[in-house]
Formats: sequence, C-alpha cells, structure tokens
Amino acid sequence: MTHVWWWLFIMGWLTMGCSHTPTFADPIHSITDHPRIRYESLVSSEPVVDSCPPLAPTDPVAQAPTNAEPDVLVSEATAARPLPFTKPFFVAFQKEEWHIPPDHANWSAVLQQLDPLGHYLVVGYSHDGGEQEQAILAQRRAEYIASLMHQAGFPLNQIHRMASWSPQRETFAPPLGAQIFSLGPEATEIRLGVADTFEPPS
Amino acid sequence: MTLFTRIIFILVMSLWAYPLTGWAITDPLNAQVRFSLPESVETVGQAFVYFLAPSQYHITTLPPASPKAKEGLRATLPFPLPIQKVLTVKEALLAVTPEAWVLVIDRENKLISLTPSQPQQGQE
Repeated sequence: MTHVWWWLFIMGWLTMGCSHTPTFADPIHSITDHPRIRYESLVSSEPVVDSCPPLAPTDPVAQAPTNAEPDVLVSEATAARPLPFTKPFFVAFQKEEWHIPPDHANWSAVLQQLDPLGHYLVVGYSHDGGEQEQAILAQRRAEYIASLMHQAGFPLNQIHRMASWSPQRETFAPPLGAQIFSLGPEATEIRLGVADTFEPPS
Repeated sequence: MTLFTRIIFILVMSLWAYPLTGWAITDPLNAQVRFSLPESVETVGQAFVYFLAPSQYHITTLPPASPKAKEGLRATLPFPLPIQKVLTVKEALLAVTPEAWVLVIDRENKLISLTPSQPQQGQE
C-alpha cells in the first residue's frame, strides 16, 4: 500500500509543476521609488487641540489668579463670516414629472458649466400643493439628476443628494424642479434657494 | 495513514497553496492592465478616471492636494502612449501623466492627485 502513496505524491508534484507558474515566482512589481511618484496624505488633518479655545479675547489683568469665583466674561462673540454664496444651477421639471430628456437644452446648458472634479449637492423639490406623492417626487428628481450627472462622467461619490418637499409653496425653494449646489472644498453648510426668484404668488 | 504520509500530504498541500497567497493583490494600483484608452478620452483626468474605475481610488483636487492639480488633470494626454502594453495601473497612470507633473498617491485614503514636478517661483 505504501507505493500507492508514493505514486500519489509524485503525481501531485508533477501536476503542481504543470498547472502553476514557478512556485516561488517573483511578486508583481511595484514602483515605490519612482521619481515621479510621491506618497503622501491627501486628507487635511485637523490640528490637535488640548483644550477649548477662549470664546473672547481675555484681558491679562483680569486673568490674575484669585480665589474668588471667576466672573462670566460677557463680550461680543466673534462674528461669523458670511459664506460666499454661489447661485445654484436650476433644472426645471414638469408637474408630476421626474424625468427630462437627456438632451434637454436646459440640462445641457447646466452640464456644460459643471466641473467634473467638483463635488455637488443635488436637491430635488416638490413644494407645489398640486403635486401628488411629493416626497417621492422630490427624491426621484434628485436621484434622476444625479444619475444624469453620473452618466456624464461624474463619480457618484462626488454627487450628494437631498430632497425637499412640503404641502405648500415655500419662499426658500422652487415649487418643483431640482437645484445643483457646488460644494466648496471647505463647505460645511449650504444656503438653500433664492428667495427673490421663488417668491410664491400672493 | 502513517506519520510520514501525513507529513508529505501537508507539505504538498502547502506548496499548492503558496502561489495563491503570492498572487494576492494588496494594492489595486499594482493590478496589471493592458493599456488601451477609448477614443473619447482626451485629457489626463479622463484617463485617470478610466484606469481607476475598477479600483477603490479616487481623484482629489481638494487641499492639501496641490491647487494646480486641476490644471494637470485638464492637460492633454502625452505622446506616445504605450498602447497595448501590459502595465500595472500605477505605470499606466504614469504613462498618461505629462513629464512636468508628479503623481501623488495617498494609499491610506485611496486618493490620487497631481502636483507640478518643480514648484514654481513665488509659490511656497
């Protein structure tokens, strides 16, 4: 019976040699020291803060150590800097519709102004009281515009989607359609809508 | 099964499995591709998107990437290109990157960008 195992061993060995490239083949070459390749982090790192910064400029005299209870400093807070407002792109939809032809003139004009490397927030709207299933319509408008952008070559991770709907018209939003907001590199908030453009009828 | 045959069996199975572990690709940029670009691809950025599509890498032009990165990605493709050659994705990216630009790779965050090879005067 022992010779059977030897035959199995030999057959296995031969098969291994035929079915594979050499067992100890060179690994796939990788370039680690090419002069035109640099390895570094491309994500901004937040500075490490040991303690909360003071809310207001402090007076060194007032900071003299005392045993008394510290007074609450009342001073004017640092004024928030206004965000630069970039007017969003607007794509019109027909009532109860969430599709537009891909060769729609309005959409083509918008698409040409978008930077393929930029990040965008697509907001779908349905604030027209006459529309049915407003939440679904608003979501589908945002998703549809995002899909058109993706078809045009925009990576999906650069397209962010939101929906906005309500039973009545709002001053901050178009009654129906979708807006595309360009997100800046340090954007933490956006300003929805343009009040003077979407003033509801009185 | 005797002890000897068991040892032999384990040895053979180990030798079988070794190449499989050696072929594992840990970095998608080291995957090999045949260099070919669609006719619609005309810029460096479009070529990057094409080659990086199967990988988990993304292009970034946001800080701390170079503010000139967009300019590099909009540049036209260099000539000649290694058409039909088998290269790693990293080599393919280098092939479509003009000489004046350096490829910046962030392996941890799977990001890629470009920066001018020589800092311009007046730029920090």
